[in-house]
Amino acid sequence: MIRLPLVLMFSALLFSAGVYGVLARRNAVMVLMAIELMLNAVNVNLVAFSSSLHQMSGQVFALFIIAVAAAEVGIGLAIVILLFRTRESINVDEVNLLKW
Amino acid sequence: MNIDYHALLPEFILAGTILLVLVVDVFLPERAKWFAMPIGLIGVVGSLAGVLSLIGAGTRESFGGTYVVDEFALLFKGFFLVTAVVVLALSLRYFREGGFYQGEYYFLLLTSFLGCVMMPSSRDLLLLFLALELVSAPGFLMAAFRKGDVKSNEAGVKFFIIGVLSTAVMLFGMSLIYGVTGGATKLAEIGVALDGVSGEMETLAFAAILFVVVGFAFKVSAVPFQFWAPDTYEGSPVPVAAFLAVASSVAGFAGLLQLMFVAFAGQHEFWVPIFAFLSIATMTVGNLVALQQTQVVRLLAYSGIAQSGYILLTFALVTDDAASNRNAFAAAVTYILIYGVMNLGAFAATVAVSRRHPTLGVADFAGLRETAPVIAVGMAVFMISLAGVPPTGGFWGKLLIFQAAIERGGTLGPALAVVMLVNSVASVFYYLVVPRQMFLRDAADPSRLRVPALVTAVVAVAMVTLVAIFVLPNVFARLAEISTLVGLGA
Amino acid sequence: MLTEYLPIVAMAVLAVAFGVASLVVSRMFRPHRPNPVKLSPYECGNDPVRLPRGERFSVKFYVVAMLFIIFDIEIIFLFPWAVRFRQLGLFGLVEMAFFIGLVFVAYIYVWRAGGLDWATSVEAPADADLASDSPRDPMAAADEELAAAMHDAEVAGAR
Repeated sequence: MIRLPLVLMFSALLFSAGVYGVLARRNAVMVLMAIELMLNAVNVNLVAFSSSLHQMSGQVFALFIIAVAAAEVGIGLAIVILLFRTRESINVDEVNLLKW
Repeated sequence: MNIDYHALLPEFILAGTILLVLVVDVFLPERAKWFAMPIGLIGVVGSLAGVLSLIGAGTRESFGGTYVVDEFALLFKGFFLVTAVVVLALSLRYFREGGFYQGEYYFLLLTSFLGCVMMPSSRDLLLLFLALELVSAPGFLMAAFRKGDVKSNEAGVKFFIIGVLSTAVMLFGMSLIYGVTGGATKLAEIGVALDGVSGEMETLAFAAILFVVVGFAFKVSAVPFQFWAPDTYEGSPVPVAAFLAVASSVAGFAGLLQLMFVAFAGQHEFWVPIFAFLSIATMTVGNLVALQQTQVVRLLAYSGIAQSGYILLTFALVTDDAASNRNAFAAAVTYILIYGVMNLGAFAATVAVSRRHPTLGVADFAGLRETAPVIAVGMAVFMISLAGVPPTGGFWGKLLIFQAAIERGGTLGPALAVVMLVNSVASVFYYLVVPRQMFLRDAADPSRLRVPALVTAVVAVAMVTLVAIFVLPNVFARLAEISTLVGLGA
Repeated sequence: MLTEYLPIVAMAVLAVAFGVASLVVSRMFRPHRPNPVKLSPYECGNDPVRLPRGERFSVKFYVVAMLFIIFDIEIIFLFPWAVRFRQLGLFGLVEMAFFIGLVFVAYIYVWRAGGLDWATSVEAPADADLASDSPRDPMAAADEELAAAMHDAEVAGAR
C-alpha cells in the first residue's frame, strides 16, 4: 500500500515540472507536452484521493480530464501547424509581434 | 438519476443546432456557406424561447443536483443567448466577405455559447470545468481564424497556451479540494465540508482555493494574469474579439460567482484580501495602460481589463453578514450585465468601421459623425457608459458597486470605493479619445460608410438599452434582486 | 489467492502460443526466394536515394495523428459504461447510442471535409496557400519542413 502523502508529493512534483516546462521551453510542441504533464499530475491526484476515499467520482473526473486533454492537444497541434505555415518556426518566444 | 428534460430544453435545442450546422455545412456549395448563420440564428432564438418558457417555473434540478436551473442561471442564460444573436449578426458580413471558413466558424461559435449557457447552471466542479473548457476550446481556434495573418496566429497561440495553462492550474486546485473535502464535488457540499476542516488540512484548502482563483483570474483577464487579452483581441477577427470580451469573460465571472459565494464562502477571510489586491491592480493597470493605446481594439481590451477590476471589487466585499453579501452579489450581477451590453455595442461599432479601416487606429474613427451618424452617436454613448458618466446605464452599475462597498463598512469597503472612484475619473480621459475623433475631426474620405443593416440595428438597440437602464433603473435592479442563487451564503 | 490469476496466465500463454505458432507455420509453408530488388526498402521499383533515417515526415501524418487522438480517446467514455452496464440498463444503452451518434457526426464532417483524403492532399502545393486565406485549402497541405522542425526539436528535447 502506497501512502497517500507520497502520491500527492509525486503529483506536486509532476505539476511543478510541467509548469517549468511551459515557462522555459521554446518549442511549441514541448510546451504542449509540458501542459500534458500538468494535467496528468491532476489525474494522479484525483485517482489517489478516489482510491483512498473509496469513492468513484474522482476517477470519473479523471476520465473527463483525459478526454478534454486529448481535444486540447488536437487544437494545439492545429494551431502549431498554422503557426509554422506563416512563420516557418514553432518557437513560442518568436511570437512577439504584439506588445503593450 | 433525475433528469428534468424541460429544464434542459435550451441546451438540447442549442446542441441540436450545432450538429445541424456542422452537417449542413459540408453539403453546402461554396457560395451558400453563409447559410449556416441563419440556421444558427434560428437555433439560438429557439433556445432563447426555451429559456423564456422556464421563467417562473421555480428551481429545477437535474443529475442529482449537479445541474440546477434557478433564476440566476436563467438570467445568465438569457444574457448569453442574446449575446449569441448579436455576435451572429455582427459575423455575417465580416465572415462572408473576408473569405473565411464560415460553417466551421458558426459551429465553433455556437459550441462556445453552449458552454456559456451551461456555466451558470453547473453546480459541480466537474461540470464547471467542462463548461469552462467548452467555452474556451473553440475560442482558441476562432482567435486564430484569420489563417494567413501572423497577428491572428499569434493571438491563437497566446490564447491557447494561457488558456490551457490556466485550466491546468484550476484543475490542480479542484483535485485538492476533492481530496480535502473528502470527496465532495457539488458546490454546496464543498461549502459545508470546507467549514469543517482545520489545521493542516485547512492550509491545503487555502492553497487549493488559491489555485482555483488563479485559474479563473486568467480567464477574466485580471492583473497580473492579463497580458494575453489585448494581444488576443487585436489579432482575432473583430466579432470574435467581441465574443471573447463579452461572452467568454462573463462566463468566467458566472463560474467565479458560484464558486466564491457558494463553495468557498466560509473561507472569505482568506480570499477577500486576494480579491482586494486583484481588483485594485486590475483596474489601475488596465486604466493606466489604456491611456496610451492608439488602436481601438486594444483600447477596448484594456478597458475590459479595467472593467474586470470593478467587477472583482464586489468579491472583496464578502463578509459574515448575509445581507451585505447579497448586496455585493446583486451589484456584481447587475454590473456584469450592463458591462456586456455596453461592450457589445462598442465592438459592434468597431466592426462597422473595420470594413473601411481594417487596422482600426483611433484616427480611423475621425469624422464618423458624417460618414456614419448612427454608429458615431452609439459609440459615444458606449464610451460614456463605460466611463460611468450619466445619462447611461454604466453610471448606474458603478453606483451600485460603490454603494455596496460603502455599506460593507470597515476600512476595506470605503478604501476600495475611493480607489474605484479615482480610477473611474482617470478612465474618462481615454474613453473620450474616440468620441473626440468622431465629432471634432474630419474624415479623410467624407463619403458615406456603408454599414450592414444588422450591425446598425445592434448599435441602435444597445444604445437605447443603455439609456433606458439609466431612465428606469428600478426595472433592472429588480432583475438582479430576484436572481437569487441557490445556496447563496447563509 | 494466486489461483484467481490462473485464467490470466492461461490467456497470456495462449496469446504467446498463437503468435509463435503463426510465425512457425507460415515459415514452414511459404516459398522463400529472395532477390536484391525484393530486399531493398520501399519496394516500389526505384533505387533508394538514401537510408530512411532522419527522414522528414509529411505534415499529413500530424493530421492523421490529430484525428486518431480524438477518435481514440472517445472510447474512454465507453469504459465506465461497460463497467456499470447492467445497472445502467436501457437508459445507459440509449445514452451510449446517442454518444456514438455524436462521434459519427464528427466522422461525417471529417470525411466530407477531406480529412481522410490521402491522395488529394499530396497534390496541394505547399507554398501557394501559405499566405492566402482561401477557404477550403485541403486540411493537410504537404508541409514537410514542419515535421522536420518538430522532429529536430524533439530530438533536442530528448537530449
